Amino acid sequence: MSEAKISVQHASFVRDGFTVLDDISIEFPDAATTLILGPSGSGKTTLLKIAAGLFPPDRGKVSYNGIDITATSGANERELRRKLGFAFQDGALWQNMTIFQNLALPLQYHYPRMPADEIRSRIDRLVGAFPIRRHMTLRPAALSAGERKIVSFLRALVLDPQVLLFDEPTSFVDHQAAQRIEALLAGYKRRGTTLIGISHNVELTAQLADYLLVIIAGGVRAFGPLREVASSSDREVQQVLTEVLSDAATFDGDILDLLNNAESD
Amino acid sequence: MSTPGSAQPRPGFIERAGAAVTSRVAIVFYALGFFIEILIETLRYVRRRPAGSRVLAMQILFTGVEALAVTAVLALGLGAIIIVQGTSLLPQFGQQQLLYVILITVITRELGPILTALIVASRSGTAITTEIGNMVINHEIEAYIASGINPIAYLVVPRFLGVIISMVVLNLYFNIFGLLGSWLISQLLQPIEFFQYFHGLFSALSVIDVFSSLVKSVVFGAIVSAVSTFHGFRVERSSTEVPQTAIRSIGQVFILLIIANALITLVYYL
Repeated sequence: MSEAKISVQHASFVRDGFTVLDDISIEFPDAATTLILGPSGSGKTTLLKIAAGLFPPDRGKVSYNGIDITATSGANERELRRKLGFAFQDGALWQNMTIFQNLALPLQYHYPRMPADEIRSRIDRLVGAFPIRRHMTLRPAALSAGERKIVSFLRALVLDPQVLLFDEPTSFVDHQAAQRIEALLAGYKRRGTTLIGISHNVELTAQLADYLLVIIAGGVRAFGPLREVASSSDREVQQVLTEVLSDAATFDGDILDLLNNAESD
Repeated sequence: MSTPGSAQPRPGFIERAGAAVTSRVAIVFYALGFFIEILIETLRYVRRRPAGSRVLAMQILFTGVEALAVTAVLALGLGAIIIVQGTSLLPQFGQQQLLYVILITVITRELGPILTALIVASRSGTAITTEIGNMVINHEIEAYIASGINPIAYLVVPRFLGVIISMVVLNLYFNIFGLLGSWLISQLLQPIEFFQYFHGLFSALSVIDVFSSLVKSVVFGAIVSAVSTFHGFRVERSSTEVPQTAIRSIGQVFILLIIANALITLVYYL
């Protein structure tokens, strides 16, 4: 396993008296793709947000290249944040801004002296073939859920991060857009970007995942290389993989067959 | 250690009471920390070329410019009331020369700043709490953090500065309209020549009066913006929390404004 960039150490998270995550320790491998799988309510999104430093854990710590994410501030925090992109499950777009402003603001904030022309050309390059390029002057409320998700995904990439964290990037997105997102992610993977995400998309899992992390009821149940976890003899892990990668229900073969089929498509 | 995903056992009465007290104390310290963070980020804001200048301009437009009409009407009305009551009551005690002192005391030093603050708190304070509360619900604040944009620097500081600037300007407008309104009404009751009237007013006006009014505007603006943004960030998950939080926020703003007004007035008379 390569050196870990993001490391979660003994993280616990309690909300409204419920233990969402309990003493989770995980080292996300550098320059590799780790997908987090688990049933609904198992704490996947919370773990992802803790790994991104968006939620401080109640106990434990999260570090990026040895630096405690939640303890940084000022210029160090800005520097750290430029390296971490996060695409939200629900888009989380800034409602009072246009789509262009949503994509431009991170650049304007981090590079206040960047000329407006350069900001525009960077955004044009990023948006590229996505049909969203026709809606740059609209506000998020005028977009469909899928389009909002694409914008959120592009916003996470606008600062060219070293680590990209994403939460269900292809759900609520039409097939064509999902394929574009998969291709974009594959491109970042080839460039050596560390990808950490949640996805129920079997094709995405088969094509991108180097490692699988299975969490059940707030605890790590399995973590390791894709093939190793997919061939686990743990019945609960197999059940999660089969249920979460929902298309699996239509296949007679085991999860490895499913992933092989998806990869060869 | 608790089972993951399960509920914690229900604590006893003493434990709950202790937790409630600890929580209150923690909120006070959290609020102090929040205010100090605003001050630090405000100093940084004025030093660098800020991306939040659009937010600042919008805040001044909403808080200052759009509140001009209601401020002008209130000030004109107040000035009219003082002149009507003053010209009818003061001569009965042979104290009509005190009219200018009363106008300055009431409009410039006391009611001008506090009424302006109440207008701003009612309009902009609740709007700020509601807007930020909804941003929390929609995960927009998380998106700012994820993009490396400090929400205090980008969202709070422009509102903090915008409300303070608007409050100072509105207070100035309140004074102009209040004193002008009182002169207009005086033309109906007991016409006073324009220059004589304003000469009388400026004779009654001291530097301390102007300074006191200015200090109040700045302090009141800081209270309205800091408390409103603080409560906005305290919304956690549900949209039903937003109006409840806005109500709590405006209540606290009113109490703090009255306390601050009393303290500054007290210092003035020391």
